[in-house]
Amino acid sequence: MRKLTSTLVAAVALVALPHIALAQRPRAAASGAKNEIGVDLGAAYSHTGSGCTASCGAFGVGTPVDIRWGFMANGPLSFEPRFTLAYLTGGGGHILSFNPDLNVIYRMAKSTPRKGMYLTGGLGFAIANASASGTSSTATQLSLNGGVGKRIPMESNAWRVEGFLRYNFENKGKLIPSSFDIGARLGMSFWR
Amino acid sequence: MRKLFGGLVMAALALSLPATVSAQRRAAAPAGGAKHEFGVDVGLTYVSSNITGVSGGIVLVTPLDVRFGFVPRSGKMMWEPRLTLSFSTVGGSTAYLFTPQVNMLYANSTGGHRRGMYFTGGAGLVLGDNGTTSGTAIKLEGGVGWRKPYESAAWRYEVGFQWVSKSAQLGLAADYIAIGGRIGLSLWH
Repeated sequence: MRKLTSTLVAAVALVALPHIALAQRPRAAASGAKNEIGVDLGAAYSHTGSGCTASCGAFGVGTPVDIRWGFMANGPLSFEPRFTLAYLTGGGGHILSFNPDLNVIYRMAKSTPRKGMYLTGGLGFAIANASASGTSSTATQLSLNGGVGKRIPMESNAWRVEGFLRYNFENKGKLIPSSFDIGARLGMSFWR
Repeated sequence: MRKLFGGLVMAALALSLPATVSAQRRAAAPAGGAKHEFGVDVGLTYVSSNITGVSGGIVLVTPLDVRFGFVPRSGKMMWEPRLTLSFSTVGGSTAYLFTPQVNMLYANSTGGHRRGMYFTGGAGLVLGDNGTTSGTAIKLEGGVGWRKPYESAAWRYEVGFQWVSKSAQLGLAADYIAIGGRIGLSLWH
């Protein structure tokens, strides 16, 4: 329980960081929009590292991948939290899955917040908690990701395509192996 | 396999319906008027399964699905496709769950499709394969919702019910009734 609480506190801190960073800025981006919101279709090849002896590769495609909620900035750097949440309860047990992630987006020289290429890197957690018959267990896996993407304007919005690499660290205590993902995500960004 | 293809054809038809309807219109939304309403939500439902031995439970999920509404130039009705897709292939075993659906939204307020109350009803498919068996189920849903403007976007609240037909192959993904709601943000372009 203590582990779950501390993990949740860390996750909340992760999600709150952009707000704190944003509060330090004099004002929002010049165009007036404050947030970039979007969802994507994602595809990735995953390779399990530690502890894998057979069938170590996997391929997945899905939508919506997560919710991304970017905080626009005047400078080249901006923050973008991404997250998913799923909670199921029934029959006296439950399953909780919470995946918060915080990415930093760096605009390339000729790019604007709405168009052009960018580089991104981020840190995330995959938190899972399950209980059944009175016993509960929690597992957390830390991940690092990096990628390069491009925003392509489409009327008042933009298509966003991003190639990424992600490394998921091993959690020895919970027997979760390390893994490596390589993939791409394609989606639409809206501003408000 | 035939079932799967049949299901996919139905899904393609369902997804192409709004575009076909849209193509019948004279022109797109006028200047300043949005053509699409796009949004994602967090959903909270009570699910009552009809499968023997499976008790009811609460499900909380975000992002629930992707909704992409086609805003009409005039009129109270609009079409809104919604979908989720999850596909994975691991060690030679392929599994997927694809849930396309189309909802019709009827604006019940003077705010049109930007604000106020609306009624919605929809139909869709649940296409799934767990790696050994595949199945298809039909889903129907209905509800009532509200849009509340929030700067250039809008909060959207919706409560309703959903019924999914029986499919032994789909397991827990079919044969249930769900009652609940969804809250999300709508953005226009």
